[in-house]
Amino acid sequence: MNHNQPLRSAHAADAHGHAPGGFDETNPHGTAAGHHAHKHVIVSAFTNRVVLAVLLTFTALTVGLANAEVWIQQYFDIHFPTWVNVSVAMSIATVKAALVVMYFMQLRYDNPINTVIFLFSLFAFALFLGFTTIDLDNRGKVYAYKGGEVQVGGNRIVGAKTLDKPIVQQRREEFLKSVLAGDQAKFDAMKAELFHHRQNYHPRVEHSVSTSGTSRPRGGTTPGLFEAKAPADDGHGHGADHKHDSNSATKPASGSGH
Amino acid sequence: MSTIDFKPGLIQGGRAPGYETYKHASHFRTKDEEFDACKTGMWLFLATEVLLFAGIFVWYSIYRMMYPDAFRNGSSYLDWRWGGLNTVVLLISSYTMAMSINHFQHNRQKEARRNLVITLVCGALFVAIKLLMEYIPKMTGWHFDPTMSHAGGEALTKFGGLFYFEQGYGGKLPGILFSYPFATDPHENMWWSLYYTGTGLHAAHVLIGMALIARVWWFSRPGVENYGPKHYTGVEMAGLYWHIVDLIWIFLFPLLYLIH
Repeated sequence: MNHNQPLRSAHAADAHGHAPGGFDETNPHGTAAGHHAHKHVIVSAFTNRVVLAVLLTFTALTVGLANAEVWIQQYFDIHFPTWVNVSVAMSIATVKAALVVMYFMQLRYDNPINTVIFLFSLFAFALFLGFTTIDLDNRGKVYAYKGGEVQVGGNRIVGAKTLDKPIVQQRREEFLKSVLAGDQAKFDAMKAELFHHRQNYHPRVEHSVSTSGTSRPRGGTTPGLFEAKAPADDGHGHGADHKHDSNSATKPASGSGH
Repeated sequence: MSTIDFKPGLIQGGRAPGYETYKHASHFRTKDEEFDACKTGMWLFLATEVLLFAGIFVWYSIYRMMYPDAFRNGSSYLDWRWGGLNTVVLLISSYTMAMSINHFQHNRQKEARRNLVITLVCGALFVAIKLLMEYIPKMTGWHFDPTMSHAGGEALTKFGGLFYFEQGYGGKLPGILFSYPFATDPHENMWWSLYYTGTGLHAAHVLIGMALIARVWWFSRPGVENYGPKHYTGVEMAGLYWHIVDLIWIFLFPLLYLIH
C-alpha cells in the first residue's frame, strides 16, 4: 500500500476484503475482512441525550430513596434493615453503570471480546469480594480452634466445637458409653477378638531402644524429649551430662543444659 | 444507528487535515485493525483499573461489616448534596465526552472541541468541589464561603472572608493523623482512611483523564485537526478512560454518601 495516497482508497479496498483475484498476499487469512469489514458505529446524539436523562433521573431517585428512608424512620418510626438501603442503592448504581458502559462506552456496538474482558474483571472482583467475605464469616470458627488447647490428633473445627481430650480417647469413650453401656470387660473381650485377626499387629515393646548390637524399629517421639528437666547445679553450671561430656575425647564440655 | 459517511475537505493552507493524512502503524494491515486493537488494549487496561478500585470496594465491604457503627457515623459527616452535585457534574461531562466523539465522527470540529472544553470544565469543577467543599473543611476546619458572609464577623477569616474557620470542625484525617475531638466510635479514623483513599484515588483519575482530554483538545486545534471521521482513536481512548472514572464514581457516591 502506498502511504502517500489518501487512505480513503485503501479503506475501500479493505472494506471489500479479498482482492478480486482471489488469494490476497497482504491478508492471507482474510482476517481483515472478518469483523473489520463493519463500519464504525456512531451513537446518535438522541441516544446520548436519553441516556444522560435516565442517568440523572436515577441519581435523583437513589438520593431521594436514601433520604426518604431516613425521613420514614424519623416520622413513622419504621426501621428498615440495612440490606434494604444497600441493595436499593447498589441496584440503581448497577443500572446506571450498565447504561454508561453500553452506550457511552459503546460496548453494545463493539467487538464482543471487549465485553468479555470487562465482564471478566467483574468476575475477578466477585471472587475477591466473595472469598474475603467467606473468610471474614468463618473467623469465629477459626478463632475458637486457635484459642483452645491443641489436642493430640487435632481439634475438631466443624461446628466451632473444640475437643478437650485427644480425639482417639474421645471416640473410644463415646463407643464405650453409647454402644457398650460402659461395660469395660465387654470392650476388652471385643478388642482381643478383633486384634486376634490382625496379622501384622505387633504391640509396642516399651524401652526397645536400639543398641550397638541390635537395631529395633520404634515409633513415636524420643522418650523424655519433651519432659522438663531442671539442670542440676554441680558448681560448673552443667547438668547430668557433665560427667559424660568430660569423658568424651572428641566433644568439649560445652554446657547445652542436658 | 448511522454509520460514518462524509466528504473530505481541506483546512487552512490548502492541505489535508490530520485525520486525512493519518497513517496507521506499519504492523497493522488497516486503520480499522489498529483502532480495534487499541480499543481492546484499552479495555484490558480498564479491567486493571476495575481491579485497582476493587481493592477499595472490598476494603469498604470488610470494614463496613466489621465496624458498622464507625461507618454509619462516618457517612453522616458527609453531605449528600455535594456528592450528588459532583455526580451530576460527572454525568454531564460523560455526556459531553460522548457527544464530542459523535461530533468528530461527523467532522464537526468546532462542536467537538466545544464539548471537550465543557468536559474539562466539569472535571475541574468536580475536583474544585471535592477540595473546597469537602477535603479542606474536613481536614482543617476552614470552610469555603464564596458569599464572604463571615467577613468582619467573629470567626477567623482568610482571603477577605473567602474562607472562615470553625473551631472543632476539622481534624477528620485518615489513620494516625486523625485529630477530630468529637468522634463517637473508636474506629472512625479508619472510615476517614477509606474515604480519602477512595475519593483521592478517584480524583487522581479525574486529573489524569483531564490531561488526556486536554491532549485531544490541543491536537484537534484548527490547522492541525488530528481527529475526524477517518481517525479518532485518541478521542475514543480518552473517552473510555473518562467514562470508567464516571463509572467508579457511580458506585463510590452511594457507598460513601447514601448508605447509612
